Amino acid sequence: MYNLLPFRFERLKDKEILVNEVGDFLIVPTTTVKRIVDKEIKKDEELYKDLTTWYFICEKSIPELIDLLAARLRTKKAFLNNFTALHIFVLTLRCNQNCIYCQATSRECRESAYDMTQEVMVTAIDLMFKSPSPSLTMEFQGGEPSLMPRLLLFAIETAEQKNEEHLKQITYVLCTNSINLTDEILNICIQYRVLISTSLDGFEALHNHNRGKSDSYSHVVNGINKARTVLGFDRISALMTASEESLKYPKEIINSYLENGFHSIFLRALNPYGLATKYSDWSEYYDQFIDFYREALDHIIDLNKSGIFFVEEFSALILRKILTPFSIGFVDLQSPSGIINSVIVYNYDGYVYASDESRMLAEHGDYTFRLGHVSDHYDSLFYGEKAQKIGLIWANETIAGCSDCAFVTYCGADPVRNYSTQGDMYGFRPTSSFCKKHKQIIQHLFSLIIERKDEVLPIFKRWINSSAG
Amino acid sequence: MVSFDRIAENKIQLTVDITVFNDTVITKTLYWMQSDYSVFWSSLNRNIQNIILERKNDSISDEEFFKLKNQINQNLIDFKTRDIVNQETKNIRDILYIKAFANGEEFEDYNLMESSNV
Repeated sequence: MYNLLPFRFERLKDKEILVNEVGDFLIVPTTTVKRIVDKEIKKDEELYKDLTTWYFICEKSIPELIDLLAARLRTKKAFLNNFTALHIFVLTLRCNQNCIYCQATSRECRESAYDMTQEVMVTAIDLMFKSPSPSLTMEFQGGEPSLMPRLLLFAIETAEQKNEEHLKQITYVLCTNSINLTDEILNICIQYRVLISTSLDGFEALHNHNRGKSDSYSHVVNGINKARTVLGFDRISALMTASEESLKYPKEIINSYLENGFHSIFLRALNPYGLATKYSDWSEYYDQFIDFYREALDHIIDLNKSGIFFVEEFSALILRKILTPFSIGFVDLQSPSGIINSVIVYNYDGYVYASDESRMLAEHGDYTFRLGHVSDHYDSLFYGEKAQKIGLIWANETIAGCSDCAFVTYCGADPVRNYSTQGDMYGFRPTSSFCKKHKQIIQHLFSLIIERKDEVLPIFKRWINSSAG
Repeated sequence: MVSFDRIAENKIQLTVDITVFNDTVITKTLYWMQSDYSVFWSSLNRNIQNIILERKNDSISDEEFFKLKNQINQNLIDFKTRDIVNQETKNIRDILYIKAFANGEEFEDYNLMESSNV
């Protein structure tokens, strides 16, 4: 007779997917879980060995290798080890585009009241250095941060100067629409090895439609090419946001990325913040997004089969959680949630928010996730009353609807999203778009593994190996 | 499930023996019904629970009725299976998390507020 170890299960495609506490999975025929729980698996069955090897059952009440299992659990949650590593600085709310789905509530170019001051920047940098993390990412966002070259330079020089004492490894990232990549900006990027993260929504007509400008695409592509020439080809990455219009063109969007020399894409759904809140029927949108995602992924798999290496980054992140023992740095797929634990936002006006989405809510007058001001003490911001309240419900292992889900290890918790879409941080999984989208994508990846294993697994493994996670 | 009947165009009544499917299992099953149905739950007697599901926006077609019957049956069985796993492995899960994350005297208690309004 054997003992059970903690695991969860889900039915899919006439199979049962068993996932243990550290994310190892087994795909078994239907009714197997009942046989396992009823202690009917015989010792001479191949399944018995698999269940024992992968920590679904054990012969002793406490597994001999429980310390190893605990180490693996700790590895799965290693993103918690060093606390907040990603520090987002919103240099300005001003922008030079007019995106139909703008999630950041950008302002007109001349409204200087929406710029961060040097005093706020210095205080925010001091807070950043209080983080215990040995490596920090300083990400500059907007609005459009390239409209603030002097503040950008000031921020980096200040961080470099202060880092002579702290000796941390700092990565700089400029999130820009690439419209305004002037020589001044690019010189800063060369000098301090600043990575550029830009956005490209697809082919020319679609990109221009989404940006609300007739010439945005040509400016962006010129900007990308200029940055590649000056900084190096691999120093600029792009992501797309799928507007309602984008959902009609999965293959065309992938092809436009290929034509522009990219070997990966992040298929990103709209988030219900900023202008996007007024955008569409969200339930219908997410249903269509899943169809779009499946079609795009099929096209990407076909490209890979034909010898063209091309990665879908969101799938690669989930697959890394499914197929490896390691954690990932992507905050949307972390539990405990990535907010505060992994990311913090210093807004242009000096207020500190739990995440990028939190400050987007604030632009609509909702300050629920405002943790305080940069002038406040580090402990009161990162461990204060608000952080503690959020902390009560930020682990999906402990909340209704998630705690029994087989995919809990692969998914993440998002109290901000719950709050913005459902009115409370705890959330309600049966109507949660976050749950629906993630669950369906994870199920689709498992379906591919079940039905097209020999075809897709080598491709998925190459993606994982090429991705930093 | 003891019985499963349509009592109006948009209402279904089901009865469940709590000695077979406990309170936790029924609650978790009904939790996932609430996107489409309002749930009314009472006790008929010591063992039998009476549940009425009222569809929020529409009537229930014959096809949906049979689909729902199978789905609820399957969910009750699955949540019962999960409950057995959870009960049997609760201690080992606790030990696992303590071994993985407790740092002895380094552990710091930040005195979480009891009167949280979250």
